[in-house]
Amino acid sequence: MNIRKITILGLYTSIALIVFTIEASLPGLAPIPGIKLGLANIVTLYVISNHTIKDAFFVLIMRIVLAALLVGQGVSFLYSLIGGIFCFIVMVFVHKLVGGRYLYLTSIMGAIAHNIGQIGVAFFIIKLSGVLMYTPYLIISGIVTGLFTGLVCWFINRHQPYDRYSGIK
Amino acid sequence: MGKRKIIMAVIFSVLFFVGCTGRQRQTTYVTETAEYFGTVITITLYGEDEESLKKSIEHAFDECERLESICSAKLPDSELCRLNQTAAESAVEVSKELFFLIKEGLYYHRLSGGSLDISIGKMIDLWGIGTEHARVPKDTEREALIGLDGCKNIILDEEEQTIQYTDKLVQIDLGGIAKGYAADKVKEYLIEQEHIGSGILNFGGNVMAIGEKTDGTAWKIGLTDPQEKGELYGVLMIKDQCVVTSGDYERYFIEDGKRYHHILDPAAGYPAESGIISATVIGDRAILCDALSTTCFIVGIEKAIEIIETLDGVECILVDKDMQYHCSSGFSQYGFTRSY
Amino acid sequence: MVLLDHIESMLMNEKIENITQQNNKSVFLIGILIGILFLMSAATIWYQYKTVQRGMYAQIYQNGKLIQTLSLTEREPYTIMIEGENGAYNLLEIREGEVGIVDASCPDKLCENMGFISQPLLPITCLPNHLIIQIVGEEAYMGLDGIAY
Repeated sequence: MNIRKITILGLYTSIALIVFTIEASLPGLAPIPGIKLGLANIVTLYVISNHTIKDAFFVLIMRIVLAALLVGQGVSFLYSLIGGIFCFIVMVFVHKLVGGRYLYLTSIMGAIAHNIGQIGVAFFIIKLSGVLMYTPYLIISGIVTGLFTGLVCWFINRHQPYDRYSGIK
Repeated sequence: MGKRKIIMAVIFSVLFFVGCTGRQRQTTYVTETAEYFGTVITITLYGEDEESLKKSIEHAFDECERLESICSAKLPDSELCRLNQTAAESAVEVSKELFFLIKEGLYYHRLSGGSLDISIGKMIDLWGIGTEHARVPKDTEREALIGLDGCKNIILDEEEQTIQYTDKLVQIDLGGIAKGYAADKVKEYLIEQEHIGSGILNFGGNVMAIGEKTDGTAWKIGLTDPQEKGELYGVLMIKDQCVVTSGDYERYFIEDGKRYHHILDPAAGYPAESGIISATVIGDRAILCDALSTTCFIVGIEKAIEIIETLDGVECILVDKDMQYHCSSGFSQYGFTRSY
Repeated sequence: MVLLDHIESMLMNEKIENITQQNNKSVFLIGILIGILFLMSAATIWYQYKTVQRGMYAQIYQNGKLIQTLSLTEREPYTIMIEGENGAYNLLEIREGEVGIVDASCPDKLCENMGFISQPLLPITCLPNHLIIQIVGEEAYMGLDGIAY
């Protein structure tokens, strides 16, 4: 890693952090916990599609840790971490499977994985089967919000004016 | 920047996660229901140990029993009943708590401009609402009791802790404040003696919150719909405060197709008809809220809001016959949402 | 980290412009998978809404003790008699999703006046007979911590 890369990754992390913080301060979309746009995932997806998986993982983890330090409470950190890692693993595989096209497929699958991961954590913490009732709602919301973030990322990719640093693609 | 740093970031995050979960204590709660003061009392306490919570609730109910034996107008053995039997003849020495309650009652009488009157025990017995003898009294019976201004006829002696009635028609009924007082005392007991930090007491519809929810958020309290049984009128949020509602739907009887509810206007000797069908007061002390909600119900919207505005730390929401609500200036802090 | 590097190299080897038949197949399969997930979720939600019971059980307390819990899912109405001390009784009718008192020995008949309840908001109480009936659902009190009445 060179200084250029460190700077760029730092920049991505801070963009993700800002987006995440702003989204956290907005009122929820629906009265069901866990339903949110997941705007910060745009950054993760962008880094996956334009840089390396390693970079994306770094940005994701740094964003989650810093967000927890800045705005979060203990439990919400666990939710974001597990959800984020689930989402990341699925996105990496889907991205590879579809050959880097159709970013919204990647992000839809990622968002669904994220939400399922969070339900898993909730089930683990609360130990109440009632939380599983949320699953269908969270899958549908994952499809909608994943489509949205995927399309946003797709537009960014189409319209970015200059080349990425490392010459991938 | 290299693998090592990334690994360190991961280790750091794992440590952070462990640190956070370590602090997260398992919370549990216990709910128990019992009957005191002629109503249903539900206590829900949050804490870590179920057994000790159960013990705490048991002790809280013991406290209820003790308070009921002081201020119940229905238990023939209660201190209040004994006072009512003998105070017209000579000054009676009473316990500190009963003295305090009656003194508070007289203060609320002044505060409400006479609308909340603790001395109308005879009028309440005459109507008998909530008992098997409920009926509309004859005008002559009623007129014999109105215009008494009974509170003037109660003489308190601070030094001797004695109480005397100067009129035989005076009978004290603390129904308008006893439940509130009990909620205050039980809350105080649970906090000071049992070190409870989080819980909800429901004294026959008077909701008293202890602290906040274990996740640090406010308690969500529903207000019942005054016209549709079992439906909600709205929801509000409180922390460490109480919500007391007085409504014409709580206790009533029907005679000749007309509904007579239990909140009597002492000036008329009749169930109050001020245009309010439900009055809710929020504040720190349940005894004050209890007294004020009854007062608001009796005096009507304009006067009620006027009284509430003169007092610090209490707010109200009043529902009129058309189901519209009117609230005091500081009420917005409770995040009220109307449900339909 | 080694794993990530490995995945990385796999991805790098597959040039993005080199879109294979396999990729197209994956796109198709993932699309189908998302579609199936969507339909399954929608069906589950629809089913939940259709079969929702506002309250699932009625709990009957006598003298402060829980004496019976009744399921409110029976389609055929039926009655049960709860007897107390000194000949006191309350006759409960249980219908699908609601419960009420239809006859009682108490003098004030407030419990009969309350009619049928189907939600965990207000319990039916018969104080003379020390009887409380409350509805409990999966989500107790609809997320509320208390009801002022």
